Amino acid sequence: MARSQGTFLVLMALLEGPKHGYEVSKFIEAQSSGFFRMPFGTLYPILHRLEKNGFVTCTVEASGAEREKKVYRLTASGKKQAEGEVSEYQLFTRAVNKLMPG
Amino acid sequence: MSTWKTQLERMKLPYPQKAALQREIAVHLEHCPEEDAEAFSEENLAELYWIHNTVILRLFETFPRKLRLTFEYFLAGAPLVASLIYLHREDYMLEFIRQGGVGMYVVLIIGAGLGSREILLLFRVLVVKDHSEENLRVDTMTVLVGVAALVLLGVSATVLGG
Repeated sequence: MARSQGTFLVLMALLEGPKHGYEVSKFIEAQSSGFFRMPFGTLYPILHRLEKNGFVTCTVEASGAEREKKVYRLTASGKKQAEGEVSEYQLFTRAVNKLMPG
Repeated sequence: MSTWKTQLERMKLPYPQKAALQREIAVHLEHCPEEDAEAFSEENLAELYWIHNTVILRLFETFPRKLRLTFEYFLAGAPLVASLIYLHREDYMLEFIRQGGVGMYVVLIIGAGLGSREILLLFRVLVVKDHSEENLRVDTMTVLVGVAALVLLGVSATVLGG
């Protein structure tokens, strides 16, 4: 999976609401009927980069003995970025659909 | 140990970040156990390294090792050189050291060595955050033995009038 494509998918998942890392992964897989897969090795570099760039914030929730769950949510600039990418992608798919043979 | 754990363990990431990442993936795998055998790609490891390491460490890694070491030794040595310059200006301090005799010089040399070694380690661990195994090894014995040697030397020099 290309890095930019992965980032787009993660932004889409978080646009639906705050999620834990594994929920992002499950969401992408379920919504794409298994077409896209986002294992942890791909997911966490993307989430952490988005966090570092200020598109995502992370809060820590206690979860059982010595376990902490990190919940990721879009910031205002992250939401703007995600919505911008959605519009761009819609233009792209519309253009590709028009080019598709009859 | 799982492949991903070994990969993260080998990475030169600051330890709090490395531990947080390991905990986060462990929680992830409780919900997605089928991914347990997965490993990070080189590209993803490089990205994690880039995200979580300090700017100074990333900058250091662009320089040859020799240059980096020279810079670190210079930083570790600077406080000692400053102390020596200060001592040199104060006649009563020089007299105090002279009266201490050979023992005092030995104590000062060992103390200076220990001090600069600790400054070097503090710089690497706290400022650069180079948490490689070499830097994180808890080497308290050297400090303890060094301090004990200093005390013994001091006492011996006093007793022997050295």
